[in-house]
Amino acid sequence: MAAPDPDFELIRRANAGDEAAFNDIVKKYQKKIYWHARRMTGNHLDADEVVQEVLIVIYNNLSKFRFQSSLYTWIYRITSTRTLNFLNRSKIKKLLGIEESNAFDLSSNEDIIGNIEQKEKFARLEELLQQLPAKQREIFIMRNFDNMSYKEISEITGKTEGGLKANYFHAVNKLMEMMKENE
Amino acid sequence: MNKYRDKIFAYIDGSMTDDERTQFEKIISSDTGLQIEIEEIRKSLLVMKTDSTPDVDETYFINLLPEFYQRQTGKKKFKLKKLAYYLSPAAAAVILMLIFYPGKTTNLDVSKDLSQEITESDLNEVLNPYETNYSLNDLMSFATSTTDSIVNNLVSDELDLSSKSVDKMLTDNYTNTNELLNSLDESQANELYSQLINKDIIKGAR
Repeated sequence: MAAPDPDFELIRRANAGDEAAFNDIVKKYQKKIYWHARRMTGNHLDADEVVQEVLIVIYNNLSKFRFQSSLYTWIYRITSTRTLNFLNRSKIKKLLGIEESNAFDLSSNEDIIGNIEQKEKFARLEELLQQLPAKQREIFIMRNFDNMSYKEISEITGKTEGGLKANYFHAVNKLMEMMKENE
Repeated sequence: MNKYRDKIFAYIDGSMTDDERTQFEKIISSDTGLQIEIEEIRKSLLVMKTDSTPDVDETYFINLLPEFYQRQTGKKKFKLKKLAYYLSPAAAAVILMLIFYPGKTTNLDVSKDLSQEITESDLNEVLNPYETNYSLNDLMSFATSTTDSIVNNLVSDELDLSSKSVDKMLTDNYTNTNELLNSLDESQANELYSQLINKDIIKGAR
């Protein structure tokens, strides 16, 4: 018999009003949420906004968790949806001229990456990733950086595994071409 | 473009079946160019992976929860402020009532059916402490002029086109649109986004 998922106990405790349990859930997954949002949005300020939105959604909806998937999949699905939604809203805001883009703002001190060399490398990577369409970028991030299987990605995005593979290969192909052009 | 491009990606990705992999490895073993290309792609993906998780200032993650709870509290306060803002006309109405009907609570028969029309004698009864005989018309005219001055002030604020006011209007417009967009739920935001894409208003469909 499989061991009970320790996250499920945390959820039950959090839903019974145990704030420490909710805090434990956040502490466990906050970095995964942040890095997904960061790689998708391309800058710290937007990523932080997405993280806060995701935490609110988790906080307000944890009682609706049905214990049919892992907490990680559930949180990742929320993160993915909120991030894509954030990107869509940002595009509309830019179109209406009511939002300044935070992307590629290398001069911004609002960042949590302290090491200058690593920051520069990461900025180059962010710049490349931002040139991919959002959904290809998302699949590339899940597959290449989060080591997710196509089955897991399919559970989160609702796409077929075949479609996901095609998208991933397109993304890798584009990235390789861009890297060659930049050499 | 390499004719094996898709196979290379599938091979590196590990998503080939055993048969496909065995067959492709035979091709690779006899093609030095292919071997180099596969190695380059592998290396590039690895570099990207390494670069994708730099060392970070952990303070951000330590402060994340306190920040979250602080924002939650802030939101509640904001909601109360908003409520107070929307209730302010009602509060003004109550104040006006108190001005028009001082001592009302002590003199009026509170058990009287509220739906019943208040007569002129009721009003005089209320206003007796001032020993003045107001007619209903007097009171209505006073109420109208007071209300008019409030409305006039609001309208003049709206119509004030001084540069300061224009700035305020732009800021309000920005805030309102921003708030409106932020308040859209996922399906509404997606619907709006899809329509903008379909009408070619936003380029670069994802």
